[in-house]
Amino acid sequence: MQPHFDALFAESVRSSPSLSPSSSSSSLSTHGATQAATQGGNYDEPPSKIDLRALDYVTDYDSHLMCPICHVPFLHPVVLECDHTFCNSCLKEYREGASSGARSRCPTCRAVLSSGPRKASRLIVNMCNETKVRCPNDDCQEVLPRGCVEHHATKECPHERLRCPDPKCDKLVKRRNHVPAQCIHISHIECDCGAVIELGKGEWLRHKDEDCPNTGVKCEECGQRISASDYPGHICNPDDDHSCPGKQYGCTDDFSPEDSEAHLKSCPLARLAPHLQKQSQLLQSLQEQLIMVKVRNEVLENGFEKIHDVLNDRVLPYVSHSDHSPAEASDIEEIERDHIPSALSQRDLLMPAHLGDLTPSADPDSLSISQTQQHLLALHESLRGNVSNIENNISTLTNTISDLDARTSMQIMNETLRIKEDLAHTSAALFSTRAQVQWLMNRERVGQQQQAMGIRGRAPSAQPPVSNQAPSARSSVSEGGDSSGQGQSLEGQPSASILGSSPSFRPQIRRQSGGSQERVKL
Amino acid sequence: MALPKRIIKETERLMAEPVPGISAVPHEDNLRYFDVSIHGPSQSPYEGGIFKLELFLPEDYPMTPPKIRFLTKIYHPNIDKLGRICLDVLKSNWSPALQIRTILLSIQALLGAPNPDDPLANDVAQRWKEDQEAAIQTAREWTKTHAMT
Repeated sequence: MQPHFDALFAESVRSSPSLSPSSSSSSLSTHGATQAATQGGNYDEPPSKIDLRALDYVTDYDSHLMCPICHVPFLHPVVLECDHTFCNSCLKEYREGASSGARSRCPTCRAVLSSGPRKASRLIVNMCNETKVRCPNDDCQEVLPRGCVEHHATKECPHERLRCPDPKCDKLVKRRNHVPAQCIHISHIECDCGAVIELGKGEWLRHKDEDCPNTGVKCEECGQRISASDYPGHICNPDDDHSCPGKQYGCTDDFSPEDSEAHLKSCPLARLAPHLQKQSQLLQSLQEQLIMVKVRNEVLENGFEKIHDVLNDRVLPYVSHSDHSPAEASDIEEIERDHIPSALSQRDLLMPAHLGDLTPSADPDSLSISQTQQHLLALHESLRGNVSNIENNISTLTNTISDLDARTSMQIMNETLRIKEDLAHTSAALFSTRAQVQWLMNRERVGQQQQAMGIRGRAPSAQPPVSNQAPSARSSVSEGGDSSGQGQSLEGQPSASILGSSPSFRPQIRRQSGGSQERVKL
Repeated sequence: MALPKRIIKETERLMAEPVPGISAVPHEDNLRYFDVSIHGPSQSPYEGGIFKLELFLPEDYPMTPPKIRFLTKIYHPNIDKLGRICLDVLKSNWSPALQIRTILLSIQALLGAPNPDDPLANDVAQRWKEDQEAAIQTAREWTKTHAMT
């Protein structure tokens, strides 16, 4: 692949990628390490372009080289008065966040410090920078000392993603595909396998069909599509099966296709295989039959259950009902007597003893199964007929009951009508009585008033007879009201009509008479 | 936010070389949240009990201490009803040089050596001071009922 690209971007290939990776890393390691060592002591370390703490540290490093704060090998280590070492940035971060009391103490031993930190020994710096890390760029598998990784990843790694030189294009391009002052995204496309293909020449399809390791190629022999990377090791699937026919019954022998005939003769499993196959087929068919039988059985059981329910819900209540109330209409009783015994016998038939034995484990013998089935079906049919009979009877019963119901309600209606009439009569009588009483009371009051006037005016002697007569009249009226006879109330009606008109009539007479006591009394 | 290298390293080490009597397992969906269980130290009223705790590493860990709470009920003068722990290294004396494993060891040590003079659960501390025998007996009973299931 690499030469292809070198040719493609011949003008852009710089001198450095042509160096072999091993020579570049070894030559740079010493350079990088010394560079880092000189920088390590500086308090203001240069800001790193990559996060050296997040790198993948390939080998286990000495735990003594590990910063107690960030747990990676020291980066620009500094030593405190108490001889504890930290990364410069870790210590700085700690001091920025900590309270004033803790700021002047060692994070590890809490010793109070009077002077600032000093650079760690060059030995420590070099040892830390020698730890092996993987290049952080995707697809780059390079492993190199940490002291050089920054230089590698940001200056020479072919997999580093760079901004496209065209300011209008915001895509990234790998360093190895990068062409100065030219946007390759217009004329080229980057495949997900990493290859860059020039557009417009049919190269893309050719790449996808043949070169790209991620998409498949077609095997010329067997026609199967396999990824290009697998192609060299691809073996077409053998058309004929050379494996032993007894393999699925436990033959584990391995043999070449040439030996297969000899094996077939010698292997007992291979000779037994047809028999075994027949047996297994038979087993399978039996199993299927069994399943069918089970299903039918279930259906029948459900039918029985339903019948049982019907009997329980509809017939048994009637049975118990007739026991408790023998005073039912005679025709209903007859119907019930006819059918109760049959209902009971059906109930006994619901679960015969031999059926209970058969249901849980269906006999694999298909003959007996079919017999049982027929028996069950016959039972089911007869039961169904009986049930429909019972249902008919029940419906006639309900009809009779509703007839009776109607009759009773008619009687009740008649009775109610009669009572209503009586009630109307009674209320009329009550009304007339009340009118009479009112009239009498009025009369008495008027009489009293007149008498009072008479006392003031003329004859006081006329008072006693009036007062005597009024109570007697009232008592006779009250007697008539109390004795609640129909005949009396009927008599009362005409009298009430006379009395109802009288109060308006009498005062006129009274006024005409001009206060004469004899007329008023009458 | 990406998990800092330090948390990954600590978790790896906790799994690879667990502290005897202590286990800390991070949640799958939140690697800053740990399910911790601590065995009660021997020769203490908590012996035989397994105490569950929750541990959460805040955003600026290791510059701030982890947040730890007992989930199992425990009768201890420095641990309150809500499971909060009164331990100096979890508060003012935290140092970024400390780790999850050292903190959990400190808690295990606190179970072995209750300090009623710096109490969090005042009633427990009071009882501890007045009648230590009875308090230890209660702690033993609580361990039996809550930490031995």
